[in-house]
Amino acid sequence: MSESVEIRMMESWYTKSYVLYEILFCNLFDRETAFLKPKHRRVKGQQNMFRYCKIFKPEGITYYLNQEIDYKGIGSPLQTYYSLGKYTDGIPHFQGSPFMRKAKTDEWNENRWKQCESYDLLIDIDSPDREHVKEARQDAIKITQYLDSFKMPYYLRYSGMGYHVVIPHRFFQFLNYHFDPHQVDGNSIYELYNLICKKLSEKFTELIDLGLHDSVRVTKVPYSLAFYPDGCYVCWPFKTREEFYASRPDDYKISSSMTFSGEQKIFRRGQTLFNQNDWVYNNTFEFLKSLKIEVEEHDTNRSADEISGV
Amino acid sequence: MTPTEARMRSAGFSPRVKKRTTPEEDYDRLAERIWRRGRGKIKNQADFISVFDSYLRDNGAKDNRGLRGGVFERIQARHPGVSSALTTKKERVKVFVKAGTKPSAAEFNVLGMRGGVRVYARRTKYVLKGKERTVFRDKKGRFVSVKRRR
Repeated sequence: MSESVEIRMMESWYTKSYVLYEILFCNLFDRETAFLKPKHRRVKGQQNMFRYCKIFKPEGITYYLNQEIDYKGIGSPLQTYYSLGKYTDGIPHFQGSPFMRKAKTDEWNENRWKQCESYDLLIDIDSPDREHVKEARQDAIKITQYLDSFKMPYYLRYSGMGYHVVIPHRFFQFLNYHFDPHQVDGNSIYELYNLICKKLSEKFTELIDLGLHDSVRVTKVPYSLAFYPDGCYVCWPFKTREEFYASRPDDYKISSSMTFSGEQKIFRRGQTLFNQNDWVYNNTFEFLKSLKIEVEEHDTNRSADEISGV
Repeated sequence: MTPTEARMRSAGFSPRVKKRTTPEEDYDRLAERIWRRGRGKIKNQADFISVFDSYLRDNGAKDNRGLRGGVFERIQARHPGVSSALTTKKERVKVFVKAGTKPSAAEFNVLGMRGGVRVYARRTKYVLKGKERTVFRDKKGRFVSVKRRR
């Protein structure tokens, strides 16, 4: 697929207001947004990622794409990402061109963990190529069934070349792991998440990405586009398990005529947090115990709302 | 036979045989025989020693002090290319993997199953009974089942 076709697909997609609304309300509040070139379009020596974008309204996405970054000028489509970390007052609004503000962003990057109030767990089941996406799907089914057995809440999405399982931080919050990436004492949230991913990889599949969970990790935004040499796919969050079991990876491919069969379903669709109402915090202990991860136990049996104060 | 020897033989004693040694004038003849026996492959002293020992073995003889050295000097005098090196560098015919060497992760690019776990495997080939066979192993060297895609 040529660059010009990819750019036209991106333009067509991000002019749809219901797409922009869903992207914003799913994930972008109080988080960092980033725009990255697809892997096959990255050029060494050029700027391939544009980070530290603060988006708090739907038009913010098109504003950054058109005016701040000028995707037409750089001649490449861009994929939209959000940070796994959520910040108390969101990220600062950095003024100036994304190409020229490195000094300010470096200072924020050094101390951002101090304002972090949550950091989600991402289990990235990534296929090495298009031929093995079916295997990634089978492994995602196994892992989600494993989480269901412990009633662990999670979001489930198709990422274009695999599946993302995201467990919100509030289901690990009471374990009191800190967010300081510089303190390697076995009590940082990143170490816990890396260990969980490693144990799941040993138990189920090596397709789980063991790239480090760190304080600046970003992941694909639901309902955004993912570009690959063989086509463009929608990062689709699943609403029900039946939808997931019945789905095929090609169902979320944008056709050459710029249409997507599931487009009409997007409006006010949101995303589903599976097992949300069945969780009690002992479930987290049981889940970690099954992976032979030792954490300090508590006596009471409280629900997620009691813990998070909602 | 002397009278003393005759008396000892009749008493059941075998006479002490005087040790024979190769006279030095025969060193040249011996060097020539050993060179011929080596068929021109004697490049150094180590090669000479192996041929020399086999010659003595075949002839039921034993080395004496100075014999080997004397013969080798004759060979070196006649064939100056023969070195005095006592070790032979043999060409290594096997390549051993150095301890601590790990295959690169990029080689593990085939997906398979082992014990219900999906793993990345590496394709390795070997020859058995004249036929080439393919097996897949994971990073720990264990066999992995890989289904052929049709």
